[in-house]
Amino acid sequence: MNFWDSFKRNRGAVIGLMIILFFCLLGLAAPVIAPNPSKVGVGPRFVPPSMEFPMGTDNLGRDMFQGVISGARISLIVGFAAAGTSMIIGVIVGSISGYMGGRVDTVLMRITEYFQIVPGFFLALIMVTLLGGSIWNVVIVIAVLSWPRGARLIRAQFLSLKEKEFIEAARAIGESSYYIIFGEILINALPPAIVNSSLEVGRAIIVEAGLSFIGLGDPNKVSWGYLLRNAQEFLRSAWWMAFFPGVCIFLLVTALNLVGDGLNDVLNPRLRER
Amino acid sequence: MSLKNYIFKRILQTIPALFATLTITFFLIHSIAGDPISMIIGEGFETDPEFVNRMKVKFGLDQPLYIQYIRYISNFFQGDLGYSISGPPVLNLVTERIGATLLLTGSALTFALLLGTILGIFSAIKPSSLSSIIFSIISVGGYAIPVFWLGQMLMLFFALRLNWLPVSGLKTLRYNYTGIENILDILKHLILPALALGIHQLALIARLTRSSMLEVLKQDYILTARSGGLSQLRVLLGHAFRNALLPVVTITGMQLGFLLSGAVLTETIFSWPGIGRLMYNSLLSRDYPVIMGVFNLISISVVVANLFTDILYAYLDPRIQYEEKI
Repeated sequence: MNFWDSFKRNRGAVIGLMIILFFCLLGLAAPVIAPNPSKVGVGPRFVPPSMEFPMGTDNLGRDMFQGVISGARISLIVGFAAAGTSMIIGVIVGSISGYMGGRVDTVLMRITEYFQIVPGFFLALIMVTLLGGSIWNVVIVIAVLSWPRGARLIRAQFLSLKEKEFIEAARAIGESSYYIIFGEILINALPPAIVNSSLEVGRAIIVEAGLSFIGLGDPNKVSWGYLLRNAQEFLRSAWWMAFFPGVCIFLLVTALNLVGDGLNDVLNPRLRER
Repeated sequence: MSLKNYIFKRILQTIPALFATLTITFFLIHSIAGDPISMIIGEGFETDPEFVNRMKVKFGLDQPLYIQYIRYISNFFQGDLGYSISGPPVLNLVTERIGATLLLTGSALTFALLLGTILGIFSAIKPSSLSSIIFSIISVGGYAIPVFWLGQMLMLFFALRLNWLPVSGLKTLRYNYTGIENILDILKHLILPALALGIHQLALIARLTRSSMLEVLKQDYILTARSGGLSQLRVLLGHAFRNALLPVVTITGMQLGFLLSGAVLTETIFSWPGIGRLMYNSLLSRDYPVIMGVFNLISISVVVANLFTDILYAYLDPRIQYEEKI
């Protein structure tokens, strides 16, 4: 059975994938359908959701609908860029640690453990405060704090795979270690890390929203966390300002987790019962 | 390895983590936060070099970096976390607020543990019941909902619309409640932030209890207990649940860091006068000594909590090999 057929059998994952694609389309089209998310006075202030403003307007008469679409773009960029960077770090550290073993492994694993123990969100708050909250700083900070999960998965795979017969066979016929690491072991070690990465995208989106909510996000970008921060003061009078951005975070992250579960079923069939 | 040796070894292992945390904050302060003297005086002011020198000597800034580092570490272990740029010692700011945060995180965790284990057990033994449906919703949704948005929605609905619960703060300041009234008043204020903060842990604990119950129920000793004629309830509670609880205990002990992170957001929304709100205010005013002090304290509590959990786990489950796992 090929990949797609077996992915399709998980209905939740398919729905999740459609939601993600929908948000991606919105994000891509953002410059066209939401050209002025931060333009003040597009409408009157505090208009409830209506035909003209489907998600209402905020305290400065900005169009919430445009804000929410701009937010989708930011969240997707941060989510995928952070998860991608995190996976690259994880693959590098995990492969070296698992393949080399010995002292290198011990040192790398101690560092990994430290990053897992340290309260990540606090460190993220501090690093973004010190570095400044541009969108790429946020991506780097999230990646730096989230790579250990991937690294440990890759390392565990390396440890079990490097003892396998097909690796011994490759060594016996004189393949280079370069080829063995990248061509044989890594390719087989990736599936659990890919599943983890799909969950990492959702985590990154929530962390970014949290940072922006605290007021440490990119001040020039309208993100979901920024909209929710702005909504806090007007909860009593304008529920829609808080409602729509939050629903979008919830939907998108749920969708990413469902796809992660689906990928897990397809890529790690042995774990399906868990 | 005996339990005693294991405990000793685990304590030794936490020492590098403690030093790593203190070292990171020390160098972050020194490399990025800038010159502390000009921070106190304010930048751009004409300053008397004589005065600056005196200040430097007073704060030990005339010493080489490694002396400053040693002093910083030894001060920390003597409970001296430095001074906030607004004046008061960091330690006082923290101790004034730690109670509120412990109350909030403790309540959130208790709520998550109680409801999470109940949901997990019922959905494991009755796969097609109401609790199973609730379980599915919480276990999928609980991970995806941002703590602060859940807080806003709870506030919007239960406090602002229905007026059932107070909007924010730790107690009603208008009245000077005492005794039982005061406690009830605080409890009312506690419900919404604790619900919001506990949701991720609730999802996690429910999932874990369920999978570990399913695992335990397959074991031979459960079959033996059943065939010995014990009632279903006794098998479940006396045998299965006790063993299924073990992984739950472990994970719960590791949640302190996540709970405290969530507390920054929850306390900000509900104006809860705890460490999280202190952190938030210090971030906005760039009060680095407070930021670093809070971070040091929290990291160290998390390291110590992990240590205790590991020891508790080793104590509870004699099957654990105390050897280093590969």
